Amino acid sequence: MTQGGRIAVRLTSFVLGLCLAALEGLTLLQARAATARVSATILAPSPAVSVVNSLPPEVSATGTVLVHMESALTAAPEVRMAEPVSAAEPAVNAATMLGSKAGDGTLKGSGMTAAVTAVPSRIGPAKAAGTDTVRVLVEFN
Amino acid sequence: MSTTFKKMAFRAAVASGVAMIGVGAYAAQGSSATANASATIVNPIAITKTSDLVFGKLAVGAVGGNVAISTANVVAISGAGTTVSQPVGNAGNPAAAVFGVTGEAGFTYAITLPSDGAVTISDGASHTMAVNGFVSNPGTTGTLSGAGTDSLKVGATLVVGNNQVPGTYTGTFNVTVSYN
Repeated sequence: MTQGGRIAVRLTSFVLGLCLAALEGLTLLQARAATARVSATILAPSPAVSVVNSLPPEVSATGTVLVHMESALTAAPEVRMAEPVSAAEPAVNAATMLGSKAGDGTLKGSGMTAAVTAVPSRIGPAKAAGTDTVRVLVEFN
Repeated sequence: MSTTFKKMAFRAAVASGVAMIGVGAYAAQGSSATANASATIVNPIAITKTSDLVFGKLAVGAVGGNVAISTANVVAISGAGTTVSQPVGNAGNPAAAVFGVTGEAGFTYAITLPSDGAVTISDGASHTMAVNGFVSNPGTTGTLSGAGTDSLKVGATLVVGNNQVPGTYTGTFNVTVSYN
């Protein structure tokens, strides 16, 4: 190979080396990104509770209160009867009423009906006819 | 000076010049050194999403709050007087996002997360929530393993408004990595 040829080869190699180094630098500097999805579901504020039936008019009797819980949820979150449960009439043992937390269940589109049984905690005189109030708390679990 | 002499002198000068060039070339050739040119092409860095960022199911009343999910999938709800809650038994599988990073073994890389105010999620009906406070594990710099891989977890904080309208909110965010 002539001297000129050698010089040309060396120049070409030098230029190729520079190009490779530049490509390497580009590769090092190149950033890569990926996209992820973010999601959250906001539920209705809380289940709505309405009393279908009230306690029997006389506290000495054993009766059943139907508590109807509804929700605007399209999903079906589970709810349960949560303590504390209280009654305006002290003769009624609230803990007994919901001691079993029998109201555990799942809200459907139309809500859920739970039975609350009231039993007297003591024997007393018959209470005048009227309506007692039972406060039932429900919460998501 | 005769013409013949001039021609001879010219030829001598030319010959001398050629000789000097030759000597010079010989001298240059004799002192040259050879160096190797090399370059190493490393594996390009790449990132792929493994799983999404999920805040799960939340109930909210009159007072909103912040719902943070850590890179360890721990949910924390905060805010003065917040009524935001998450049903324990029906949380909707809250989880941090997970990305897989690949590239050259042992290389470190920089992680770029979305800034506050850059990401919002929507229910598709003009109701939105901001997603701020992005955090990652590893933090700002990760290191690729001997196999050239790493796992990158990303958490964030969801800003739930007062009386936030119920519904499913979705959005996207980007995570960028680059070699240091």
